[in-house]
Amino acid sequence: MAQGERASVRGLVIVYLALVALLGANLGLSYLPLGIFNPISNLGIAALQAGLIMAVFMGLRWSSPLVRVVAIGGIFFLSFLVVLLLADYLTRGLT
Amino acid sequence: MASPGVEIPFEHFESLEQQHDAAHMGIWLFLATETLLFGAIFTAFGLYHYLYPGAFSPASRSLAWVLEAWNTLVLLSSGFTMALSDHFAAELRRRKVMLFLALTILLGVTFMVLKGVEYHGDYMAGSVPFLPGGWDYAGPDPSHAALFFNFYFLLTGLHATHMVIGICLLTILLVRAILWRSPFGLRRMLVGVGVFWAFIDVVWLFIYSSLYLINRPGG
Repeated sequence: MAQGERASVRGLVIVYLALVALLGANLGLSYLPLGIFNPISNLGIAALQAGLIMAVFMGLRWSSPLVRVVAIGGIFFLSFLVVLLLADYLTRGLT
Repeated sequence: MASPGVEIPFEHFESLEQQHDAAHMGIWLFLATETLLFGAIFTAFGLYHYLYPGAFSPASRSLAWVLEAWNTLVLLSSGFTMALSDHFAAELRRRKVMLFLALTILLGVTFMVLKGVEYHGDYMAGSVPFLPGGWDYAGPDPSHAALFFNFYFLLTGLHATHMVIGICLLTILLVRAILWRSPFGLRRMLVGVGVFWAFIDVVWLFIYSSLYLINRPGG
């Protein structure tokens, strides 16, 4: 984030209201029997909220590309853990 | 109050921007390790949920999801007030920095109190498998349900530990804001703590969605 570049108060208020609205949407969708789309919508909305927080409250929107790379580095390495674990457990019945 | 003057970078930085970027990158590097810590637990939880859905889903539905919906709102609000204090710290507006830091601490403590109420309810309901006299679960497949509650207490407990650390750091920031001896130093610390506090918000959003809401289709 360059010195001086940051969200305005109005921008912060809008993001906060969006986060509260998404929380309401998440709660509302939990009441609907959507089958497989229930976990997808729950985690999808949580990811959307996380993205808003990371971009604005955590300042990634104004960060240098290097900081952004470091920020997604943890998620990138976590994806190895998830993919390799699922590659094991989800294929055990195929032999 | 004396003017804070002009901020100059430490001698090993070429510019304020480079100094700010280095601090920002440092806190994100730390958060990458935190992502791996929480992510590994979430992954194990997801795997066991996949293996034992008959035990995990009813156990999840027994959690106090309405109380924690309010707690999620409290935590989102604390993230907002923290972002505001960071915003006003950049403008060196001491009173507003103090106000929003105090509000953030208040909301953080509120979250912890509500969390304590929830834990007390869990103990009274016999949903604490690791405490003597705390396990009297009436739902299906109690042995695997105990696994669910161990994950639940591990994730929420680890999150609560981060909350306590965050509240302590915020209290230090508030004291520094009251003293106002080094506004630029306060601003540097506030950026790091602000990113840490927002990360705690992010972790909680995934805890709330995956532990409390994901098994609740149709209410």
